[in-house]
Amino acid sequence: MMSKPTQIMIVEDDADIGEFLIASLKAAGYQPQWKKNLTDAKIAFDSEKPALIILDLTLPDGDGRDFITDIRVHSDVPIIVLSARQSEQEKVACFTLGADDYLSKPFGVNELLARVMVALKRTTMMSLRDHIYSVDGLVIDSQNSTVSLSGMALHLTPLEFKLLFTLVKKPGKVFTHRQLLTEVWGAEYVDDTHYLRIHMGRLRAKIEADPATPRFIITELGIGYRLAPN
Amino acid sequence: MPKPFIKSILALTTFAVATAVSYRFFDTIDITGITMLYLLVVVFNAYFLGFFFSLATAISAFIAINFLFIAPQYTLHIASPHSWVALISFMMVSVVISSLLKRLQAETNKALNAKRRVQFSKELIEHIATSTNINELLNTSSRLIQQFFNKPTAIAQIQSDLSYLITHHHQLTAQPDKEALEWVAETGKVIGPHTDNWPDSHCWIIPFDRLPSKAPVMVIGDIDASSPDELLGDLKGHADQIYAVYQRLIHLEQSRQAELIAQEESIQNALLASISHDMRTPLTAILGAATSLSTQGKLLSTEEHQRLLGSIASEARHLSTSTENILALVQLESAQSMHIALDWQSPEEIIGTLLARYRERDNTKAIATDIKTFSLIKANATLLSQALANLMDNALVAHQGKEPIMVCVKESNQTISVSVKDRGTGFSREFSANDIKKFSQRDKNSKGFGLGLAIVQAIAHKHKARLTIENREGGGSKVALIFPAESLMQASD
Repeated sequence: MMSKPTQIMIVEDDADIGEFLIASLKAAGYQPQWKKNLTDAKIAFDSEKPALIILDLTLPDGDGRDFITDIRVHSDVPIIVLSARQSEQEKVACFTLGADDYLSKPFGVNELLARVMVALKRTTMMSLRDHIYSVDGLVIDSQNSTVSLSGMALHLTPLEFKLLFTLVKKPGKVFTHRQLLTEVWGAEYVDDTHYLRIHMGRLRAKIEADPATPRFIITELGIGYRLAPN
Repeated sequence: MPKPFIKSILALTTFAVATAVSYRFFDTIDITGITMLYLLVVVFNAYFLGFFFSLATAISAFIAINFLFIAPQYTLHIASPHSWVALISFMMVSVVISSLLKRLQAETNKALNAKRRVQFSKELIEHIATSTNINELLNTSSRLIQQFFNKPTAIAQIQSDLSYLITHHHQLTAQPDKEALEWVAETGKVIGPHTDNWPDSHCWIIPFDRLPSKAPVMVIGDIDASSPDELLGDLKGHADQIYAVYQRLIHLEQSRQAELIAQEESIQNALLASISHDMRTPLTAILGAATSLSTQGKLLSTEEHQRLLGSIASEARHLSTSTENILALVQLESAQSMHIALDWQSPEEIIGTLLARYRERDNTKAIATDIKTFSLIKANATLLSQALANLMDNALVAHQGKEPIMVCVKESNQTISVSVKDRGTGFSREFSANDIKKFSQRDKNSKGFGLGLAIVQAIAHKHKARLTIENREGGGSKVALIFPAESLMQASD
């Protein structure tokens, strides 16, 4: 028996982008449904329970960010935000509200499908094995507080451990600078992004083969970091 | 203790000492010596205590000599006409010397005062000449004038809504009349005592500009009809001095603005010049390919289909790059250098994110990095990333051979540099960073070349970084952004 195709809700008012999203997602085997405003999206979300939402922020009947807030009250469904590359503030605001990822306009089909896959994987993976992260030889066991690379235990500083364990809580999800600083250093350090950058540089030097081409900890420039999903 | 009291004591003491000495040695010094001694006391008192005390001393001495030393002693009677002459001469010499000294003293005081005023004038010029902004100038002037003349001082500046803002006040508590301030600005004339305008008011309002103008005015408080006329003259002179510096600063600011506008205009010109090339060309290609596919689709072979679709994608990508450049430019122009948000950024992260984008797009050309530092750079992540993207675009167009394009971060001598090195044809020998605008359109066939470097330069400028361009030994070029020490945060190991 064939499994039911994954439902993806697209909330986008631009006809051309909508068409492109529908066509690409259908071709990739998903079942997309297209809502052109927030009102329709809200009604459909309750009845159709999509596995993922692709959300544009500027919609004819309101701000997409309000939708994120509404959904997060009762659902953990992955949300990918569509946004312009320049507006970092906007992206940070979305992540703070609970968005999982974003797609910078303009984007190609490969980028779209990759992000969709990552977001869907995160939900399935989390439900399967909560505390072991294992990608390309990097194993993070958050229950036993150990990190190893290619079978060798890594010596990390307490701050580096804390950083890694925060990211591993939701692999694939973007953590903003402020979220990480609050979690690892404390609320009074939210503006000291330089601490985070220097320690992240050191952590990468320990776990990445080429820190400038990170395999595990991905930089979201101006926004934060995410751990590559397994 | 009051001054006249001390002066009286001093006068009495000197008189008493002279009398006691004369009385004690009356046997050895004759009447001439005694008169000389008293004369000395009169001169001393004239010089140090003033005309009144010296006159009083002279009269007392006249009586004392008569009573104590001239025969018959202990009476005021004078027997010999010779003594009369001596006494009267003494009295006259005393009075003449006293009044001469009085005049001398007045002249000396005047000279000293003039010297002090000249010195202040010099000091004021020295202090304000080094002012770098108008605020500093007005504040320093107001403070120095208050300190020297010991009068409450303030500056009133006219606002855009034509109201007055009293600034830089030093001890001035009472607000000057708004109507009076307006009148001064409209006429360029002084208000207050010793003038024909509002002579009863308790302050002087002195305009910097003697003609009707919106220049600031100086307000000096605690003034009445008894305030010396020459004080007003001095203050007017100082107002002129301050105004000269004020005008210089205004001109400086205007030329700075003009330079800024000229710089922005040159970027804008580069932008406009390249828009036709950078944006119309890809648009033409996209429109052509798309219309061809939609109208003649059935007549085209599969290969032709693929080729046209590929060209739409690549031209759109190019258009996207151009749009990003234009957005970067708009951001650079709309935000003054102060307002661009700078934060400590990791060069490794910026380069890493950028290269990920390039590798995703095209992995046929190898790109390698050489970053051996955790140090951070004070930068705007979007702009720095944009600058590096433009350098990468240029390098990718020019690069040939198997050796990878190198992106390097290096720290040396308290500076940090980010550079992109390729193995292409390099820049022509006479090309330098100063010629970016001139050469920006040199190669009409290469995509986005001109605008790219002009933007890199503008971004470098906003970061106080230096852009250097050089050809490498063995072919190719190296373009580097060198950030100053204050933009470098070294990560201690």
